[in-house]
Amino acid sequence: MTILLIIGIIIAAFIGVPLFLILGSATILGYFLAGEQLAGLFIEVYKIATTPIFMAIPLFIFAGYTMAESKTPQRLVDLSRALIGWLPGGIAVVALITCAFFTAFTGASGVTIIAMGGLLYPILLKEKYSEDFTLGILTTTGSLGLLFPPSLPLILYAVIAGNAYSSINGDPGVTVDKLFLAALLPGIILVVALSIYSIFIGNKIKVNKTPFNWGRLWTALKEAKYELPLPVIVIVGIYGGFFTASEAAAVSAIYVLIVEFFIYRDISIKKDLVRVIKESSVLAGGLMVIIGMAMAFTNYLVEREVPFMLVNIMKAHITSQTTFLMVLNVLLIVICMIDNFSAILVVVPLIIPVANEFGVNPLHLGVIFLINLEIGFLTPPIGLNVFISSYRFKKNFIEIFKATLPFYIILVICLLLITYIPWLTLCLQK
Amino acid sequence: MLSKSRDLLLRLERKLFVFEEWALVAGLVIMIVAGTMQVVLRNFFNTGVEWADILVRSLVLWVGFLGASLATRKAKHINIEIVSKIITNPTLAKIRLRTVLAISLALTITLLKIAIDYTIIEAGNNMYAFLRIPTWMVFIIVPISLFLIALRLLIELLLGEPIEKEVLSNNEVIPQ
Repeated sequence: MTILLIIGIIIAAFIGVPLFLILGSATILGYFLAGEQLAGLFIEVYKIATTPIFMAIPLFIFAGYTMAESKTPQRLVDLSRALIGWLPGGIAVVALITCAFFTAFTGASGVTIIAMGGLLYPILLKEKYSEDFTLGILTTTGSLGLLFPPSLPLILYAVIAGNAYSSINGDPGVTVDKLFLAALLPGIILVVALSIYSIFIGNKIKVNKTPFNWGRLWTALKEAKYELPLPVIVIVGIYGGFFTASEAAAVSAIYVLIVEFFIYRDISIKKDLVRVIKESSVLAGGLMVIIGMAMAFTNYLVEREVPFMLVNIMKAHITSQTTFLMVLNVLLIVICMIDNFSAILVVVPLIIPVANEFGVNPLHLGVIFLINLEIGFLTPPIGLNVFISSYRFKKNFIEIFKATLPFYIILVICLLLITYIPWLTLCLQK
Repeated sequence: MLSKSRDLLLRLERKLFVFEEWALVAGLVIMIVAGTMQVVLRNFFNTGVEWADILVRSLVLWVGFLGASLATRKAKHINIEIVSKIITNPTLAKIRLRTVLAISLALTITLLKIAIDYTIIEAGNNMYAFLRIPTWMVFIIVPISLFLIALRLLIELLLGEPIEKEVLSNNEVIPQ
């Protein structure tokens, strides 16, 4: 009977029952079998209202959506075009950088491909990039930027991992600000590697270049002058000790609200505010319920000592850290294909005890995990970016994946570098 | 008979939706303002409002669950989409959708029942979240949202489609 129910839940998940219900019912089943009080499920859900960092999720998503709805994408593209558009392949680098910025704020929820894709697609084609290259780069950039502050998956990872480490040895090991710092250089490496490839292609096919022009740069700078300080405010605020990472979300939200609704006035407070709040809350709410249920499910697994069993199984088959990291990467890409946020919530607490046993640094593990997420988004058959792109650009998803392949390979090479050279993640830590 | 009760449910949903929308907007705006206020008070005036942090955190639960019930309205809950992407036959697609809705409805009602039990337990605990607000009043949004989700799933099961259909936004069309 139990087996049947478990199979039933798995089938329900695959035919499309919302994940929060899947995680909720799995937890209820677990509690029921263990003879525990079912209401215990909601003790975990209530933690949403007692854990400070969760306020970052609805507020950063709101800030990201507001910018996506206003003319921020246009201003950012204009500015980076004036700045680096003169390079061979410069416009592709523009796409990489502006999309990374957007993904950092909206957490690879598809908003980047939807908001930036429509803008950059015609520009790239006009500059003589092939359609394959254009589709490939825009699909890839949909998750590029997960390593930069204030990326939501990164924040979420830090919270969940911090909890897991605390329960092992009393020290969280991972905090949001430490992980931001650890992920910075790897994030830059990914952007640089993809840029080098884009410049190389740009050179080969002799794409059109935008000539450099001081006047143009100055105009673009003036246009974007209210948006540019935002990342600086967030970073200086957090590392200068003025506010916490969760408060940074409130500051960003109010800043964006004032800038977009009152200064630029691209969107109107009367017509658009309620709509933007509703749309961003639908995404944030969809996430929050999954987070609540996943915390309950994880709690159940930990109570049943599942992580401990995993440690024993892994230790019986794997002896060295090098092999462990390799197995981990393969495993993670597969897991991350399914759903990024649930991957973090359910899988992280399970792998952390194992990684700890193999002596992997908590921050290093976090960065490896996040890069796997980026790649998972691109992996067929269920990588989210591939779907969003095929919907957005009205192309078959096999076509999209073929176009993405070169970028995919580059990301995998970067992943291996960052996995086996821990220094890249740890050099900025004090 | 069926269409009559369906219309009745739809009217009820509409009425509740208006309240929900305003609660959501108010909740998020208060979160933004109160959150920023704490930063300003601390950095410039070296003070802070003790209960404001807890108010903001409580609102996260409210905004989150209200957002989740709106997500049901638009059929935008996060799920694994592989099967729905593979199925192209319209009859099969319809069967899949109704099956998913029926299972979801049953699971939501189960969760709702447990959430009500938990609210009653909390109410008996006499604990305060902040000021004179007891914890069960913060938590009450969970059963409320689960009720709204169940109501919407029922309507969608009767309609065979989302209540609010996806409207493409203005910048959706790609210039060729």
